[in-house]
Amino acid sequence: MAGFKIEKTLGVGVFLLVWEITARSKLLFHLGIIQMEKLAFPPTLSSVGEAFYLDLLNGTMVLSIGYSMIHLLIGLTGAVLLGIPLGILIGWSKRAECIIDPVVQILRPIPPLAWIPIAIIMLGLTHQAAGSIIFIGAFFPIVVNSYSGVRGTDLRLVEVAKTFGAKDMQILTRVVLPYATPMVTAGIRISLGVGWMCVVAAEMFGVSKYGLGWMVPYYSSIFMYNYVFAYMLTLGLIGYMMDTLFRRFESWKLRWRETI
Amino acid sequence: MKKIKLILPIIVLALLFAGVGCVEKPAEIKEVRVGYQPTTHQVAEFIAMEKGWFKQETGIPFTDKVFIGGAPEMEAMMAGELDIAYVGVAPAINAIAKGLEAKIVASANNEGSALVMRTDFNYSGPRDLVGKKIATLPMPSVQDTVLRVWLLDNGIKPEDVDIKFMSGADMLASLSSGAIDGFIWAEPGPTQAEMTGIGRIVVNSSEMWLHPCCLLIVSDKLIKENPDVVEKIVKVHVKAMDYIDTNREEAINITAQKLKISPEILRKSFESGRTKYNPDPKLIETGTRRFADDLLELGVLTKPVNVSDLFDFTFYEKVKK
Amino acid sequence: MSLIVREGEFLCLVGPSGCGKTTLLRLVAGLIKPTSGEIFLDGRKIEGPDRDRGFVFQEYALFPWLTVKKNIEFGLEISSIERTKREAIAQKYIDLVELRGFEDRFPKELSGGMKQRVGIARAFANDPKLLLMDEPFGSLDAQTRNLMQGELLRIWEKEHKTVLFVTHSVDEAVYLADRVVVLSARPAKVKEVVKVGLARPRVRTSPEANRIRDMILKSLGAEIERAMK
Repeated sequence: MAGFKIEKTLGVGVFLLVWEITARSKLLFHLGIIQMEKLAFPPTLSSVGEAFYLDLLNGTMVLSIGYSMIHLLIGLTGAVLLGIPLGILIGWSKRAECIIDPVVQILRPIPPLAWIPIAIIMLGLTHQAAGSIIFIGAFFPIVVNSYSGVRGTDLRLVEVAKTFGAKDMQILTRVVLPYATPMVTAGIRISLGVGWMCVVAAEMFGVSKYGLGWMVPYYSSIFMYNYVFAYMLTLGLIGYMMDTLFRRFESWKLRWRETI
Repeated sequence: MKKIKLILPIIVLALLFAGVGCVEKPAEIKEVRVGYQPTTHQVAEFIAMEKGWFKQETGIPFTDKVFIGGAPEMEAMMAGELDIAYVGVAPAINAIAKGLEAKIVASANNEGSALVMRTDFNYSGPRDLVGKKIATLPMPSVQDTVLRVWLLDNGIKPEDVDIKFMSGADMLASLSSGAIDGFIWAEPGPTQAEMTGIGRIVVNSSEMWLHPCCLLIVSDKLIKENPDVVEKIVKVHVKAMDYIDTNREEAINITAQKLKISPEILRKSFESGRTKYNPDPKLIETGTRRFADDLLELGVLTKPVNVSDLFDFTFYEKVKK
Repeated sequence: MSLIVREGEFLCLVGPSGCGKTTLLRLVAGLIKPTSGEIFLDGRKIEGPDRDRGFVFQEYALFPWLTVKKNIEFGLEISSIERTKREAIAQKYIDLVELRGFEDRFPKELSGGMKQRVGIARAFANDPKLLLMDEPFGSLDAQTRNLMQGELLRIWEKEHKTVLFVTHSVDEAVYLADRVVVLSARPAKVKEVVKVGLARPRVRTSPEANRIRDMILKSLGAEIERAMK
């Protein structure tokens, strides 16, 4: 959205103002939502800012971001390396689809969190275990999208290739795969988002001392909600930045696409 | 017409706030909700509940709820889900400092935890823990705090030990599978680990320092509105604490049922003498002060806390007369 | 049905809608298999699609992710022709269809006429024995269409490939073809083969052209009526 600068600042400004008033007036306590008067919830904006600043200064924030990115990378890399070939395979071969797809469809609805005990028993309390949960979340969008991309190939283009003498393998690599690329890329972008959301769940079982997802329940249990919000905000901002960057890369790579 | 338009919202708002106020008005309490954890530290709670003494003494039904550790227990109490709690001193201090309206009225146990390592682990001193995976209850917990300060006292940075948070049950499973190298937890955990052959006790928490552990805290609301009930609660608590010594076998059986652990393990646990029982809150004031300093040092507390303000000794004093 | 196509000739197929002109073309291309009968190219039976029969589609069917140059090079890459040779050939045809300067554009940036020029260049560049064109100018407006007809002839005259051209437009057939095959209504048979002996470039409105056109239209008209019954 370009322009509308007044509206944008107004919206955010009002939100922040309402937040601050709610925090300072202890509104939630007076409404009976919070039980203890002195509990600093919601935290004031300045205390959130302070938490942000302090943890940036002492390096905890940067370290946490780093660990979360590593977990995301582990999960995402696995999902891409396994998911794209698998999606393409079941899109290309009907036989492969019939063998593999039912299993995929059954496993897909299982929430990544449910896999946590299995991850622990198989991988212990390691970064790989955290990455594996992110992998589960990221895997299925990539498979589904790769499959759709292959399936949706414009058959006319396949025919064109055939009239040039292209055989199966060449048709796959020179027509189907390029045609499927937009869908695959979209799948990766979705996986990026889902995987990042799994970061909190994955890091909660304490595979490392840091990690944005680990910080949220930690600060929660010592009732320092200003830090909780600071880290939640960081999670949101970084997720947003990654998505935006990816979209930019996507529109450059796929600049040949007709825009509606 | 305009006047009515103005008056109406004011009336509505007034009713709203009156209604809100109405919710808070005390009269008689319908029930008392008790929080506890599955360790021998809180045997007094098991006995008092099992024998129905709370209800007998106060005429009010008591219900209890289990928590895997002090952190979730205090989160629940902060949300108004509990009226009294058997909980560790570290999470109690933390919660009250951050806004929980409650007071410490009695002690439930002292010490009673131990550092347990894998049976094949060659332990010669705290230095051996560097780089190893040691599990404790999530921060803030008595064991975690005691461990960290003990490491610092031995010149080791807690960050150099890979401290992992999990529930006690998970600790036993993780130790036996080798996912962790050791844990520090409350009895009967350490005894259970040794007796089932999955671990070896290497350091008692009492060797780290003679620390208070679990205590009984009561909400300010209950103290203000029903002090007579609180006095009766403390009376029952003291009675239950005595019962642990005078009726040891029965205490063991009640605990066995509550925790679903075999009486043999519990007997051995009691025999070790690791856990000490003395309800007098005055005796733990100094130790609590030390915990407050430790929590400040570890960054759990952000500013110093006036420890005397955490206690209400009046109920115990009345009961002891 | 039975039909013989001579080498180097430009043959147009006309017929009522739905009679199967496109089907016939696709059979020759090898994209579909005949239920009965056989098709031979240079004495060899056609079993499936291959590079000896090039195809130009009405909807252009360019690869949207490839530039103009890369689209034209497509067939050459399939045949593993090495790079310098490939690029030279592609450039030749880019010049031939007068798209110099657009080598690095993507299909989405081109007009309909330009896209079809790429389609034609792409098919030609691969040097097939037979060129099959399925109403290639059907999607274009009238003016561009006329222009493209001229362009196609210009290119064709350089290399004199054998062309099988399907069209709805009798005008187009008369302008382009050496012979025009009129197909009957479904099931299609060869109703009539009209020889257009006029020298090129042809005048669309010359009396001879008109005469031939009327003849074909009459023949076709009868078929269209039959098809409608």
